Amino acid sequence: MKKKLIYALTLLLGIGVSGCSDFGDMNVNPAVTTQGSASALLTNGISAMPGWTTERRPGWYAQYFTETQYPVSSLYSLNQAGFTGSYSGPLYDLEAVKTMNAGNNMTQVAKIVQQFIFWQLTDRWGDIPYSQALKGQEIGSPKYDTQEDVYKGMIKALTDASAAIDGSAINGDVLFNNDPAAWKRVANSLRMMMAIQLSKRFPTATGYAATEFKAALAANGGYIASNAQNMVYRYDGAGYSNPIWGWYNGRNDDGEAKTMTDMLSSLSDGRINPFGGNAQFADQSSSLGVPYGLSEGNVRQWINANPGWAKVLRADLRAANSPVYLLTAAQVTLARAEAANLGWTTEVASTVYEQGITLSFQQWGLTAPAASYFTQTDVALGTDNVKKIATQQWIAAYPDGHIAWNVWRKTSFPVLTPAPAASNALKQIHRRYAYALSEYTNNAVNVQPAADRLKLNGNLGDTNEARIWWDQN
Amino acid sequence: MKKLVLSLFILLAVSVVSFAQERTITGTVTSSEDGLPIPGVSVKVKEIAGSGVTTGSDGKFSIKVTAAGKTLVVSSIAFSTKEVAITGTSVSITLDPDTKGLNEVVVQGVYGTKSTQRTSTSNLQTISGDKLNTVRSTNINNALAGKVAGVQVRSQSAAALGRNTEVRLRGGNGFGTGNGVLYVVDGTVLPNADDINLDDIEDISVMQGPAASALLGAQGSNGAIIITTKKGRSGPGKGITVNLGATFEDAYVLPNYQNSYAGGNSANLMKYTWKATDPLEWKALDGKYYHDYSDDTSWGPRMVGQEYIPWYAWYGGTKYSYKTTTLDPQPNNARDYYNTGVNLNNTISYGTSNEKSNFKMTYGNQYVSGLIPESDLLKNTFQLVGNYDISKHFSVGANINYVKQVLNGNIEDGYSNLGTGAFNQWFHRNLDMGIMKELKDLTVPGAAPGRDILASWNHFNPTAYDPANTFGFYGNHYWFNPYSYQDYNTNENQRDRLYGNVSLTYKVNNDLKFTATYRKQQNTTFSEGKTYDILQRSGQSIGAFNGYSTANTYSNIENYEGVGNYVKKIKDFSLALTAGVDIRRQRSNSNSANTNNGLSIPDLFTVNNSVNPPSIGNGRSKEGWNALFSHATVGYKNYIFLDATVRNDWFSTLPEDNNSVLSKSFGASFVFSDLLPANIKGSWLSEGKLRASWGEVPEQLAAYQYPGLAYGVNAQKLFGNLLMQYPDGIVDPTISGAVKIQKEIGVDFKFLNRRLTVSGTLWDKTESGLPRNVAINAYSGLSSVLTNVGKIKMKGLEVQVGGDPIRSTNFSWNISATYANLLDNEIVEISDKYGINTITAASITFGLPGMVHHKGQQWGQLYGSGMKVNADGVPILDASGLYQTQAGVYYGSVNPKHTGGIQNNFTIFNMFDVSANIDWQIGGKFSSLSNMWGSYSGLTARTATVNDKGMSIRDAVADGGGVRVDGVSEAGQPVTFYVPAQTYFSNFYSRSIWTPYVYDLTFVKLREVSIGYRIPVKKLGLDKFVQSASFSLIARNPVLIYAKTKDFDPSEVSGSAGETAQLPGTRGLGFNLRIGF
Repeated sequence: MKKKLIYALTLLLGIGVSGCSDFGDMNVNPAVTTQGSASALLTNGISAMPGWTTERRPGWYAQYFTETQYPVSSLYSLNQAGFTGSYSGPLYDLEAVKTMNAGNNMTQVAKIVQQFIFWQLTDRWGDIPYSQALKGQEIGSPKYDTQEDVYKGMIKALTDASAAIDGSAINGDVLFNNDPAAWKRVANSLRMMMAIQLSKRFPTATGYAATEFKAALAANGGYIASNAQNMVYRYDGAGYSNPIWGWYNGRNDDGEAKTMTDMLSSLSDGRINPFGGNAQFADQSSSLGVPYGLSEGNVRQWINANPGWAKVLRADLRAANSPVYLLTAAQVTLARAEAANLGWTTEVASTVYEQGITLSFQQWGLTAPAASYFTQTDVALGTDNVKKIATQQWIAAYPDGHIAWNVWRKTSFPVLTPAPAASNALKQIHRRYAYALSEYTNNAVNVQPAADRLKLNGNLGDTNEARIWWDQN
Repeated sequence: MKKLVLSLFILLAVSVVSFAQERTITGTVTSSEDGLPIPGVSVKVKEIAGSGVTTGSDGKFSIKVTAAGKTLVVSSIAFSTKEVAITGTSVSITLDPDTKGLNEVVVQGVYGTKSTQRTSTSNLQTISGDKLNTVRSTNINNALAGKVAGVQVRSQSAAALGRNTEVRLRGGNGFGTGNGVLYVVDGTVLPNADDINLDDIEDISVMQGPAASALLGAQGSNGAIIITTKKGRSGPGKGITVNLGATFEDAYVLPNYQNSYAGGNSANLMKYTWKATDPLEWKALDGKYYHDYSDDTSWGPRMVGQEYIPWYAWYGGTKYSYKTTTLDPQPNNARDYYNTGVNLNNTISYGTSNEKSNFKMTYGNQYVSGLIPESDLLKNTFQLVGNYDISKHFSVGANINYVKQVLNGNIEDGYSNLGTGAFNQWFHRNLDMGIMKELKDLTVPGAAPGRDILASWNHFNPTAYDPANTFGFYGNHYWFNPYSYQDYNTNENQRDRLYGNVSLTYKVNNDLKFTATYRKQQNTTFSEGKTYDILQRSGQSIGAFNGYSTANTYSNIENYEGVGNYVKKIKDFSLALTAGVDIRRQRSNSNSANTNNGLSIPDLFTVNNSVNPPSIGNGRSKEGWNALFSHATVGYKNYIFLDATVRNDWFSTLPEDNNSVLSKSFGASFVFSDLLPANIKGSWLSEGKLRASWGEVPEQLAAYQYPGLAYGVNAQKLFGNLLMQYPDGIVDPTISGAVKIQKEIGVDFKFLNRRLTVSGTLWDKTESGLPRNVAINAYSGLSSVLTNVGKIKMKGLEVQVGGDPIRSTNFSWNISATYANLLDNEIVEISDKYGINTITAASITFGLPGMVHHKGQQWGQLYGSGMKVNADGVPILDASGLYQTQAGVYYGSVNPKHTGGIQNNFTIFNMFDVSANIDWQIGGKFSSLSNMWGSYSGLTARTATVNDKGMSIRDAVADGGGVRVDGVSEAGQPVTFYVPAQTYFSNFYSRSIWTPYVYDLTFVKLREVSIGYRIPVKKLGLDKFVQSASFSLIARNPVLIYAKTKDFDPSEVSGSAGETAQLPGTRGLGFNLRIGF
């Protein structure tokens, strides 16, 4: 009996052992796929774009907006945001579209969208990983490129993409409904916008920036010249909603800054109507801009006394399904005016300038401004052209803080007074984002040279007040 | 299984019939040393297997004996066993103290293994149920605090109903937050300690790590807490025990608030001037003064009892309408919000046994009405344990536990929760909680009928009033009335857990048995949350949406065990062998859904009613392992013992061709005192033992981590376009289980007739190659790699001391103490292969210092930006006299350096039992978001102090006010500034300087006190009905004797890195009545 039992048990154990390591498909996750879809990855990459053009922080620095309660960031609190998520997120998704060989135009569109995102990153932080980035395990720890190299790389990539676009199919393009011609225009337009951003570094008509600008202007396929050609991201208002709608869906943290309403009032500019929505009455416009950069106590008192203060955009223009402008004809046209004024091109500055302003009015559903608008002293070109063009660029880009901050950093126009309640030691407007703390613990070997390069100008180093490369003469 | 249980019941029922021809022997057992009765003595009838009772607290017993019974066997720990012939029906037995120590507590291990203090090769710490359950705690982890050396208990506020507590063994494990201890109840693994009724516990033993827990394999790599529940026993009387307990908990430790300045962001009261568009009733307030209601900080006017318009005066329909009052501090307003928590904890238990069977049933009922308004918890636990010998060879057993819990309420302590802990962050110091509660249902008409708006203390100022849009004034800015919020934001959580086992044992002979066991642990949860429309329509800057969320989860773990146990004594050698197989299968499913952006039809709570497409969650996983194991202990002459464990696991979660991992441990113990001359042993040294052990246990992966590479898909399409993310995580193809090695040596001494015991253990552990998803340089496009990382080295010392300093007829005192020192604690490597030096284990919102593991640093560093100082530690100030930011600061480990506790038990006149348990820890850090915001918003005491000029720091600098700041300038020159208080405190946030908000975890706490009175049932003539009765007064957390931070109870910090809106420390007082029938 006892022996039998031991035998039986041994047998049982034996059976157990032989089957021990086999679990069949137990470890196969039923809820994921290992098959990627190029079109779905492209849509996802494109969907990262409006986040950048509606980011509040550059808008605070450019005094488009100001915080209406518990102001912190608009008073220049320490800003050490990280940006690695953009690389592993949308940039790498777009890189996958390229490596999947999903068709020539898919690759080119992915490349263009990538340059748009890199542009946003380098204008905020300065030097960033570019040439060695997105190589996966091949280059596990990419170096930071100088901003000059990043800019030249982006411009070259856009040039190549524009030239390479053919008639092949695009799928997942939620901006232009898979139209290759539109992407050609976008590539050329972005190239122009990037080239003009370098005017402080390459001011002459024969310099790198002017050469690239002219080439883009003349490039096959053209550039964004009408509002119908604008790069616009549209929302369905259900699964995906306009971020600015989201700012006011439950909170009221931001107002249109008085800096903007003052400017528009002084120019008797009709855009004052669409740019501000009444905080109290959703169907009304408001031109009651919130004084910029006040302390909590002061802004609180002002808001309590002025319940009809201006929110960013009139309510119908920031509905859940309102579009977000990524790049507009007005912006591109005003860049052309700037280039003409610099003597880079042979276009007539004042003509293109007025065209740009008109496009901006029309973009917001307004009729073209009356002739009197263009003849007023603060608008008509002739004197202070740099200031006037910059001011119009600043107005036309609203609410895209990135462009506005770029314009101000490069030209110092419009003249902005730092927040009276500034909390930073220098009491100056931030000129860049600082690298994240984690870069110094995890990526010191790469971030340190970039931080050291920032010391070259004013010895500010990796601070919010240091100037990035194109921000220097 | 059902059938088996049923037949068990039938068999038990039959067995009861056979009691008919019995007689009852009663008796008393006393000690020959002091003549005192000995409780807990085992009394058995030698001739009848399975018989046995234990003596009560008075040393008395009563046992039923059939005709076959001739001899009683009487045994107890620390006494020599005695056999007494049965002569009459009443007997007096005296026992002699045992100096050989042969009859020690037998500790049940897993898979039928057993050990004693003598044979154990590691620091086996066992706590009896009585010692554990001094104050009838409802949480096993809390009950362990200070009682086991090397255990750091991380308790939670009693206000946080249903919240998990955690323990860290020996300084924590791995690269997480250091938890992951396994709870094993009668051999069944539970995921946490939540669902164990402490009244059921016989004893609990803590296996600190691989050397002790190797038999459990990978699941036990972080240590295990082994719980053995009580079995049915026959005793005098009916075998029914009733425990009735009630405790009352109150908020105890709250932050220190300032009580000088009122709410708002205007330092002066403002004059209200009535205007024609304002409500006519407000005319009564014309010319009176108000403070800023709209801002939820307390940088308002000084409170000196002056007349002002309170927040509620602006609403009609109350006795306070349109009336002013005086502006006074409300020092206890946060405290007043919390109710007195009432905790009723009742159990009834029935147990019996006879020669063939034992049986026990317990029903526990716990009802807690929480400290947070509208919160309560109801828990029913049911346990059924039985064993029946079918024949000489076969026996069946079952152990079935069912737990049902229903929890209601908003138990929130995250940032900006609207109910509770946020009082420490944003509030007005002049708010009267009584009036707040009284007005919780007050509303004003809204824009349309049925759109009424709740009244809130945080409405706008009267200058914002516009008759065309009254919401601009009445809308609740950041806060609802917190009482209204609890009414209109409801959460319900239910849990049904079923666990236990059924087993069949085949006993070949006295030496050999085989047991087949089926185990199950099933948990089903259901939760539902509702936010009512009135909150959405009342809130201005709150973002509360009318909404509904629901979730269901199901998890089921099943084990199939086959174990053989063989015990043999051959001459001087003893052998205990265990070998078996354990097959485990685990499955979990979850479904959840919540509405987005409101409900289309207000307050119709269903997922379909969502304004925007609802979010849906769906999760499922399957995993399993198969294991073969064996364990052997060889003893020589009962003073040398060697043991060895080998276990091999095959995991479904590892690569198929490399899924086998081996756990092993070895140990030895040597009771050297047995070899010492009798005169030494007899005089002062009762027993001396050396022990050493070594173990190595791997760690496994979670389901589906390998092989990775999975695309994510967004739930929502954009105009028909799918959105997909490329997988950013990669998996190292060589991924395998970790290796955790632990070794320890120790000594156990017993002195002076065992009246003093001392144990010391030195341990050393190394963990390496932990499989972990770690962040890599994401500029490559890849954000993480699942690989084997790291090397962690820790060393520590544990000391346990126990003694009976006084043992006399009328007074005895028993004391035990534990102490642990984390001697050494270092992260040697993270991943040199991937260039990773840091792992973030826990973060806190707003960038406050979180818990990181950094190469070359101690485990669990608190790391984040701080204050810039020079080489001498003096702050470097900017031109305004403000502190500047230092990028990365290591603040120290979250691990306390020293932990310990002292338990005292006194018995007075054999009538009173008094216990007092203290526990303490020294060292360890945590961050406090509450104090950061509390200071930013002018709530904390430090924001209203007096400077060295004798002026309030809130007074204007020009008038001699301001915070005095000393430091050095950028140029290194000593400088002194006076900085406006609000600027000073907001600067810490705007510049991310967290130095003032990192605190020490050091504390000394009187955690448990119990004063018990043994009711003399015999004297009172109740002994016909009642066998024993005792009444105890108990106190939980009565005194926080010392804490380095005065604002929180450091033993109850909610998160691993710190707290984000800590609920108050609490203290409870109560009573317990225990009756044995």
